[in-house]
Order: sequence, then C-alpha cells, then structure tokens
Amino acid sequence: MKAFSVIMHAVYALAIAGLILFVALGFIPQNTGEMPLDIKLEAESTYEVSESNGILEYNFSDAVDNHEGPADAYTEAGVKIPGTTIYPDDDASVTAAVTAVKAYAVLHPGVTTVTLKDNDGTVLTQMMIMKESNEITTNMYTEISITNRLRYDLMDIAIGVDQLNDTGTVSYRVAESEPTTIKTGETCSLPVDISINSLNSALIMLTGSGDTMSIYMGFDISGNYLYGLAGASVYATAVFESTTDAPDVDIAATQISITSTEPIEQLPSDLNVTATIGAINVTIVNGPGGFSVEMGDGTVNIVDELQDQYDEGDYTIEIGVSPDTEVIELTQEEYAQMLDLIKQVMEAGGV
Amino acid sequence: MTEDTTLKQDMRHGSWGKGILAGVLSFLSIVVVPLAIIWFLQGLVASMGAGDEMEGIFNTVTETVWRFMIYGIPVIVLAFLTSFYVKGNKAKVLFTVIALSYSIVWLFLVFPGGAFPVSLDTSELFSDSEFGLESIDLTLNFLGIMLILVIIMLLRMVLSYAVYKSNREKYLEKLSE
Repeated sequence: MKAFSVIMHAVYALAIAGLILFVALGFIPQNTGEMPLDIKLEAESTYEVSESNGILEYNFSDAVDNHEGPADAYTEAGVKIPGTTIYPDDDASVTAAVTAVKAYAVLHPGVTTVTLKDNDGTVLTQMMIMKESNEITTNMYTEISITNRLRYDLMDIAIGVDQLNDTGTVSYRVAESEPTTIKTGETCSLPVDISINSLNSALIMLTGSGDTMSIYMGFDISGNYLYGLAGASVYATAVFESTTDAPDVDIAATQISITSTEPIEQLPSDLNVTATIGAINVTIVNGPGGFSVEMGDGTVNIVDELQDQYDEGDYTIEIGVSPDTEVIELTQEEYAQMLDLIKQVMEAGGV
Repeated sequence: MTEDTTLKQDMRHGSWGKGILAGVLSFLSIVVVPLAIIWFLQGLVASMGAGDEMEGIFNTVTETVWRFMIYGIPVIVLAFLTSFYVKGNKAKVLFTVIALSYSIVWLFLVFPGGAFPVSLDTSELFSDSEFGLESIDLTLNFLGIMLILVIIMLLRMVLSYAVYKSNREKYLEKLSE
C-alpha cells in the first residue's frame, strides 16, 4: 500500500505540474518583447480602376484621411500615376486624382488596379473599402489579419459579420468565413466580403430606436486554443456614423412610407430601385434629394402578401420597371429575414 | 495487532490546532485575499480614470470574486474538518472526499458552464471618427481545463484513500498508546 501511495503522489504531482506548465507556457509568447496576438481590421488600399468615380473618391478620401498624410496612386507594376497626389481633407485633390486614374486607365488598358502609397512607399490601409454596388446590394471589403505569436496553434478561427439595428435586437449575417487554423508564428489574413441588401438594410435601421440612420455592424470572431481545451469568442459592435436625421416614417398595414430630406451617406448616392415582390411594389431612392422608401400602394396587406409568396416557396424580387426588369432570387433565409423585418417594422408602427 | 475503530470512534480524535490553522488559511485565501483584490481593482480603475470602458470587466470580475467567496464558505469549514483529522483516520478520508466533491461543484458555481463573459463599452474610444467601435463582448471558455481539474480532483480522492491505507496501522498504534 505504501508503494501505491508513493506512485499516486507522484502521478498527482506530475498532473498538477504538467497542467500548470502547459497553461502558463500557452500564454507566454516565444518572444516576450512582442504582443502575443496582433489583430488588425484593415485592407490595403488597392482598388479596381473600373469602380465608379463616386466609389473611388470615397475610398481615396477615406484612405488618405485615415493615413493623415499625402499619397499617390500607383499601378500594380509600381508606376506612379501623374497628377494623383491626394491630400487629407482636400476634396479637390481627390477628384483630380480619380480623374487622372481614369484617364491613365484609358491610355493603359492593362492597368486594372491602383494602390495608394505615401512618400515612403508605404501602402495605405482602410478599415472598410467600398465596392461597386448594384441596385439592391451594397458591397464592402475588409480583411481581418491575426498574427499568432503564442506557443500553440489557434484553432477553428471563424469570423462572421452581421448588420444590426441600433438597439442590437435585429441581426442579419452578411458575411462569414470558413473556420481556419493559425499556426504559431504565422499571420493569417481572412478576407471579409460584405454584401448588404439595401431593402433589408433600410428595414434593419428602422427596427431600431429610430433615432439615427447610422449603419451598425457586428464582428463575430471565435476560436479555440490550448489544443481545444480553452476558447474565446469576441463580438465587437461597430457603427458607421450617419449625420442623416431619422426620417419621417408612416406605417400602415398596406403601405410603408419612409422619407428623409437628406441622403444616407453609407448607401450609394445614386440608388434608385424599383422592385416588385408579388403584388407589392417597392421603391428605394437615395440621392441629393434625400432618402425614401415606399412599399405597397395602400390596397394590399403587405405582410399577408409576402407571407403568401413565402409559403408558396417563391423568393423572387423583380427589379426595375417593365420591360427592363431583372429577377433576383433571394435565398429562403434572406426572404424570411426580410419578412421578419417587415413584421417588426409593422409592430413598431403599432399595426 | 491493534484493534480497528469505526468512523464514529475516529471522529472523536483530532487536532484542534491543525484544524484551526487550516480554517484560518482557507479564510484568508477564500475571503480576505479576494476582498483585497476587489479593493485593489477599485483603486486601480479609479486612478486610471477608465471608468466607463473598464466598468464591464470590473463588474464581471467582482461578481466572479463574490461567487468565489460566497460559495467558498463551505470549503473553509471542510478545510477545518479535513485538517482536524490526522492521516489514517477514517473521518479524514470522508471529509477529504466531501471537500473535493464540493470543490468540483464550487468550480462550476464560480464559472458557470466553464465560461467567463466580459463586456466592454468602447463607445468613447473612437468618438471623433466616422467609424466607431461601440462595444466588445468577450467570452472565455475553459471548460476543457476545468474538466482536467475535475480529473485531478478525482485523482486526489484516490490519493487520499491511499494515504489513509498506508497510515492506518500507524494511526491505530498511536491511538492504542
């Protein structure tokens, strides 16, 4: 029995010491002079020259303001494009640079992208790059890069992006990455393409408190560590501030009308969508004249009509005015989300 | 050959000094030290002037420390009882097993589901920018490590029985003197 007791003491001591050592080493970086983890939410300022002037102007301006110093546009071959020096908070230099880039691209058809670099050759970065958007979707792009300086691999790192309303009660997943393992000592950059359905986006904003037209985003990052024995999940809520005042909202069972005299900065400045969902007509306009959404003509119950279409398994939206129409097929989940949002808008409006 | 004793008989023999010492040490580590940590954190947050941002972390840590203290009170009593009885005493095995069993429950009462959630209000950090970070909700999950701790505690139960068996004869001899 004495021998058994000695062996058990040894096993117990080894188990305790092993666990302490295993966990402690996991949180001490190999190089103690560096941060154990480095997480960045930004993308290099490289843009397709085919993007519209408005999109390029927004991105150039945002990147240079963020950098707080002048920059020039370079081709992918590293050639500096003449006349593209952009200064922070200088709209004239931004407009001139975009014009110069467009002109250069016409003369050099092989140039498909441009990158902004400062005087030292450092590539500028942006937290969120605006991409060309169609009638119903707004596209954005960013990258989440994680450097692992810890001793063990980071496992099952997954990232999701949601659009939220300002009270956080409605969440709509707009982007998701596949779970990835980041080995110790390596940096992994996860591209995040974001597509926001304009109708859903407007409806999400309206399901909140109604005090603001700012766009709220949720960044969902999760992963495991210590060979899966421990893990963490982080949910960061970000806001893209809009100076637009809350619009006038008129909600009835057969018609939703939203009118603002100011445009929403985060939506395309030339947005003009006419859509038909079953027997419901929708128009969304965002421009110099303001922002407006008109849904229903006052004769058909909106929720009943959309619900019928959903029950029949028809998730299509017809965009445009006949004969120039385009049919967009939503997924069942997207349609259900839209229906749910409209129900919430009705509820919020006391219908 | 010494005569064996029953659990009831064993429970009459113990060391008040060792029991009180263990109880006091447990009280210090379960109540006094955590209270000092809360007091230190309160001072630190106040001196940093990081009230709003740190409030979420501070509240969560404080709640966890309070759970640790309140649910740890039975551990103080059990620490007294396990140390009150000497090696080879049946009561020591009994109370060690009870103390370890309760410690497993205690672990899950302090960290429900093996998780530690923290919320941070970061709305003031980027207030001048068009892009703002409103809040960060972080959940640390260490259920796997807690399960290993449970295994270690189960190992400790087996160990306490081994200690009892190897010291039983010596204990009975001392008792018969």
